[in-house]
Amino acid sequence: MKYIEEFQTKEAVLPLLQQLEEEVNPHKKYRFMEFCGGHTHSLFKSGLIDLLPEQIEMVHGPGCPVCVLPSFPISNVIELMENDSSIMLSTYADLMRVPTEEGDSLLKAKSRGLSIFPIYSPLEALNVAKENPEKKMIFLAIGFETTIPATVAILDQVIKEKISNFFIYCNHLNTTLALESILTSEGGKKLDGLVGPGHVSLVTGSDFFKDHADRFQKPIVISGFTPYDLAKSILLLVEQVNKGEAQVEVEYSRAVTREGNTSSQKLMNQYLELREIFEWRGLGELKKSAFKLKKQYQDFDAKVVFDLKTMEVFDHPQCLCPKVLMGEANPLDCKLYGKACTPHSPYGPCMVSSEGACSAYFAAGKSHE
Amino acid sequence: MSNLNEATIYLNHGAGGRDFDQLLREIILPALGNPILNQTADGAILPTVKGRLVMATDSHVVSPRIFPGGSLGKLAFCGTVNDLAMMGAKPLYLTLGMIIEEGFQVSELEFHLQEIATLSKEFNIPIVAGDTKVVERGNGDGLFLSTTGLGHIEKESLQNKQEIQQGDVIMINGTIGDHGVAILSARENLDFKTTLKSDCAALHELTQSLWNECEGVKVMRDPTRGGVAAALNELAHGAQAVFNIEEEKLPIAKPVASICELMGLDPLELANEGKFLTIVKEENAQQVLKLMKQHPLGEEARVIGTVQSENKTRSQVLCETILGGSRIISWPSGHQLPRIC
Repeated sequence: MKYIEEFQTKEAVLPLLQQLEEEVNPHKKYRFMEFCGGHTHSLFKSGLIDLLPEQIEMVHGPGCPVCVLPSFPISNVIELMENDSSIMLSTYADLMRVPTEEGDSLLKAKSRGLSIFPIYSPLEALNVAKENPEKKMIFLAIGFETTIPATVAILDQVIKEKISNFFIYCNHLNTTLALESILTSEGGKKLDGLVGPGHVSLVTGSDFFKDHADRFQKPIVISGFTPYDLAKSILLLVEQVNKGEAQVEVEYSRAVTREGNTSSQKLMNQYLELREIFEWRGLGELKKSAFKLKKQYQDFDAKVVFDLKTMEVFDHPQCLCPKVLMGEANPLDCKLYGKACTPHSPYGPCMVSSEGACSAYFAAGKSHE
Repeated sequence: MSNLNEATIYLNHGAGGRDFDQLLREIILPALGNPILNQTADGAILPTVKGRLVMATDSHVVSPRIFPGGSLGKLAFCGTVNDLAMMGAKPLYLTLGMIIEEGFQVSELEFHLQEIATLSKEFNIPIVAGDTKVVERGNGDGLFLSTTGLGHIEKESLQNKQEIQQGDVIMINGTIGDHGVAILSARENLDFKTTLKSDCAALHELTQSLWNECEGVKVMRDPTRGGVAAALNELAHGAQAVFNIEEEKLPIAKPVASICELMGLDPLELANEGKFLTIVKEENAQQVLKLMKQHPLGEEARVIGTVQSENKTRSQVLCETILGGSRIISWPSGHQLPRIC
């Protein structure tokens, strides 16, 4: 498969856009949400967002794990490390620039000398832990189901190898509840369909979304991330809407199956369970929406071992991220966007993360002018 | 005295006394020696230089210090030579400052000095002065090198460069992101294999031929840290102009494109050490491109965009995407971070 040539060129994509023009009902408006931040990013980076028929409006969803995570886990670990120099932290690089309520960040804390390791894979974190047996490594685990397999695989390895200085600060989120929250909201009811998250589905399987499609009667097309994938998925959504269908369809068939990655799911079920309640940025408090380590693994649970507290979610009063995340506002509706709030000096998470809607808009050069 | 070849550097080597003298005579001068440096005076008295003097300086802290296609030593030489080259100057002399961490292997120091020596001899750009300091273990990342270069511009017309105007053509001499990816591939924690090498190279012979033999060359900039994205934004900002880049025309080697896809990186923001952007008057563009392509370091030269307007009130780098959509190429704010998912 020639991944780049076959999926990212004019020759591959423009015929799909032509089909889309022919398929849309010129007198109808189609409102689709792309749930995943990676899809938002791709729509803007490729310029596809500007080439869709005018009847199609894309609403940007909350599938950006950095965007919806409250900042208190970051504040917690910084405070912990400032009081105990034997503690090291590793996490995904996206989290490094997220501003805390105090105006701090992991990047700033690193420059003050705290042992913070931005990593690409938790295996790197484990290697650092092994090289420093006298220290304690906390892995700040974030992400939707996409990144849960990496966390549980590393926990499995830690337990099997009897490593005693590696802990997981689990802040993984459940896509189902986020989706539920969107589809039951006022904005969600106005959606005609969803571009479903490609890499979450890789883990969960596409059948995971069947219940949502049935209950809310909205078509969901699981999409890959290239412009070809997105154009094709939007075309499939338009076709379903025109026929009055509400099916789960897999456009990303080269990666996604109906049942998903069952060995990952087995490990997930073995090590994790759902928290009763968790407050999201933007979506508010959702029941059973976030994961934690099961009680029998509490020796590896950083939250338990280091007594890390849950705190109220902080948002700058003028920051519109909560509404942007719900698809109820557009980045351009925010007074701070592009002026006080830029990727260089972000106020809210939608601008910090490269998957965030505000960051995508800014990178595309969209402005109030 | 101990046999230096099997030893490590220790604090005395930076203290200016006998141990330093041994380092100088047994390691530094055998590699870099020339009639001026061999005098081992406090400074270098140089022959009279004609034309306008140009100076540039660069410090190098790359990790890992040895990577496919290059090394810290090679970067230290080429980095400053290229800065002079961008200004239209012919590089004449370099100085070399070294900050070495206690415990550093002498054999590795020799390696980097030899890399510099080879290039110095090849291009007849001698190292005429230097300095060595040694810091305590833990206070330096092995080896830091700093080079300062002196060059000259003889051609009068180059001293008053022409202003950038609407219609000017933006070019690059070859593929982007190679150095950035080569560095990433050499870092142990990122486990991918590639045959790709850094593009680290001295560009002055190519740039001198363009500055001296062509009309219409207005400015050059080498896209090092921050990549082509940073360099284009710097040029646009400096000229208060709006550029339009055509994404389809950007030369990107397949391995670079693949690795960037995998890691969520943008080739436009990756460092290059053997590339330069140039902005050329429209009517001279074809001639410049032809001359570039005749040189080994310009074989894959391309036009990548144009100056859309010399707005004078704002600067921006627009990009027409492969599909025909539009985005901007932002000024990178800092280190690129691999994306989570």
